[in-house]
Amino acid sequence: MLSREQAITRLNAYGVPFSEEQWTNETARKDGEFGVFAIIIRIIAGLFILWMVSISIAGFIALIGQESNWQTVTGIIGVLATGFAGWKFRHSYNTLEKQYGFKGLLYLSLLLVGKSCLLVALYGWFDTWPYSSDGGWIVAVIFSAITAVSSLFYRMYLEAFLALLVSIFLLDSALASNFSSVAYPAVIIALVLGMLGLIWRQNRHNLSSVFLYATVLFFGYKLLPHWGQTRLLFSQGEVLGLNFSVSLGVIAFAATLSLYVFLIGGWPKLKSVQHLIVIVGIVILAALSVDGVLLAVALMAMGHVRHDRVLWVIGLIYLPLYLVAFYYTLDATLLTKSYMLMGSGVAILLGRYALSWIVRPSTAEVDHA
Amino acid sequence: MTKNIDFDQPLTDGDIEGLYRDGKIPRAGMQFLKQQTDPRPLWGQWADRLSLVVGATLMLAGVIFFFAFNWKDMAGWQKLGLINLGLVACLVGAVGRGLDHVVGQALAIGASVLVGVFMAVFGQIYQTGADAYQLFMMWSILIFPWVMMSKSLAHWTLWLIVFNLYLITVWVQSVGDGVEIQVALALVGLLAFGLQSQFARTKPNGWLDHNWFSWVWLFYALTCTAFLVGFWAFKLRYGFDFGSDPFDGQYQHLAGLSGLALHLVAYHMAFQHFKNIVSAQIWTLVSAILTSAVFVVVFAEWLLDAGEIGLLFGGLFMAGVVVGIFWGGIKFLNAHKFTTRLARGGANAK
Repeated sequence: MLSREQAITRLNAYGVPFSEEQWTNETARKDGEFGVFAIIIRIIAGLFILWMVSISIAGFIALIGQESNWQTVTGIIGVLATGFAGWKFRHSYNTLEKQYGFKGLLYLSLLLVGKSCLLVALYGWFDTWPYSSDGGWIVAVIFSAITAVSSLFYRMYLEAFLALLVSIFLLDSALASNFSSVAYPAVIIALVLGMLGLIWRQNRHNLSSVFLYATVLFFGYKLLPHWGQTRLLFSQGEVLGLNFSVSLGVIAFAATLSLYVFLIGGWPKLKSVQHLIVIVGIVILAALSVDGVLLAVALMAMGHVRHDRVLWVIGLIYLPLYLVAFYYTLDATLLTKSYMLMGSGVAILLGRYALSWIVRPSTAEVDHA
Repeated sequence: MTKNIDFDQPLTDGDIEGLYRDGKIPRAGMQFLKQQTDPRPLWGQWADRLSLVVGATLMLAGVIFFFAFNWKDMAGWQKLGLINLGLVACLVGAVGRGLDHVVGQALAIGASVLVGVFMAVFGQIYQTGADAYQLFMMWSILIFPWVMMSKSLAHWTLWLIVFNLYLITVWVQSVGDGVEIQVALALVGLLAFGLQSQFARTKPNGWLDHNWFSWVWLFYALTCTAFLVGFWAFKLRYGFDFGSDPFDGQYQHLAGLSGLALHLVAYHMAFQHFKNIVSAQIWTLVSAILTSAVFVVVFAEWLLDAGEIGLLFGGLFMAGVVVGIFWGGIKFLNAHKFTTRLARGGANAK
């Protein structure tokens, strides 16, 4: 049994600063400042305001007669707005409590306006657009650098999540238009290592959860089947056919097995029949190239172990998408698909039945479901 | 202000939730503490239920695909016979497994779906000439008895969807494209929300005590009321009418007023009667979006028609008003008190 005092010590050792004084401090967030609602209402308010202010900026540019030089004006507004709001979030509004206040909402909106202006101005300066092959990648790299620097300079996780998502998708579209498949292994390895690093570092900082969720969302999107082939890096209709090789299969299996062993708590636990059945299932799914389903189930399992409901829900959303996309894009007749569907359904139900005899969930486990 | 806490006492789940809720520890810290006090194995009951749902869905989809492939080569009696066979198998399985068990409930839902499939195929083979609304009406009537017995909110959701489809099709096929039907749809959604919440309160931890059902139907009802009010505002401002409105717009004011009234009834239910925080948050969110949209609809033309200056100051003014509306919504929510009762699954935990 963990005492409250021990909990504080372990939290500190884990990298989360917390003390008895903070615990005894009589502060409480109100209902409008907590949970998913607080996030959704601020994002929607911010986007509404962004829309209105965009109209205002268009009027301002027309009023000062700088239509031909709109990029510079928009860029200056972007730098000023981002700089001011970023400064505020670094120095005065660096706690969740303050960020959820009225001025916090204003500065969040200002930040959204500033970043949007910067992005539009960048595209104007370089005279390009996201999927353009002429210099679109320069804008993607500059904007991603701005996002990275911003994340180090201040902590505002709502804006960071949106900026990160935009940066990742811009980089993706830029790479799709400008680079050959040479970049593929490097990017995938970087993504996987980045994700593992984020899971590791998530303990220490608020924003690392944001990075993890954004990366997972993007990675899940890239694994959606594209007419029978894995889309992975290229989003512009270009697909990358990976030829299976024994060495690649062995490396992938070893990596997956190591991750699985890490999640279940060590090699000795692998001896149970339950885990062996699961590993056989993983191998079958991998052999069928249903990598998206594997990712979705892995996210749900990780979310369950880590008490991370967001990760679990992301897996739950992606799972039916992968299943539908897999069967829909399968190059087979309706009859073959029907046999495959029935076969896989029966296999899953039989596997479940077998596992239910091997592993009986305890009462505590039922309560956690 | 400080509170007295005995730090030698064991750390509870309530402590962790409270610390996270009050913003004293980040999400990662909350998750870390939960892993310390309540370590979970990789595969929980979630995996058991997920494999049941996925396995059953894939198998059913396979059966449907198989019949779809062979459909045109099958005789009428074969088609109806097979569907009936599936229906009877589902019912026998549901009775055998019992409606208290999740498998029995899933089979009962399967039987309800097959009733609709049977009626659609019957109409296709014998060309009964029945309208679509008659199919949905008979479907909702025929499955109602075992929906009543099923003890499953998923089954009630299916029934409500079929009933709503009946209302929509009877309106479109017998009356026309008027927006007035949204009043009835909102009413159905509010009734579903209200009755389920009331029963859940009367019998806590029973099969009716699941928040997802009330949230889904409240959100549905509020979408209908928001549409009615938004449409009404648009009509008042610009005199807009649907070209195919069967009543030439004469009931649209009444429909808008009814939508507003139902929106206020939803407020009373969420904030005053059930005092459910998530329901209140849904109401606040929809209301903030609705009010902002109505403001933009009503004032946009006046503000933005004044050239560059209109754009500059109109945009800023509207942004300011939208900030005020959303912030007002948050403060409005904070001004209310809510109950802390946990529904089954703890979904409305405060």
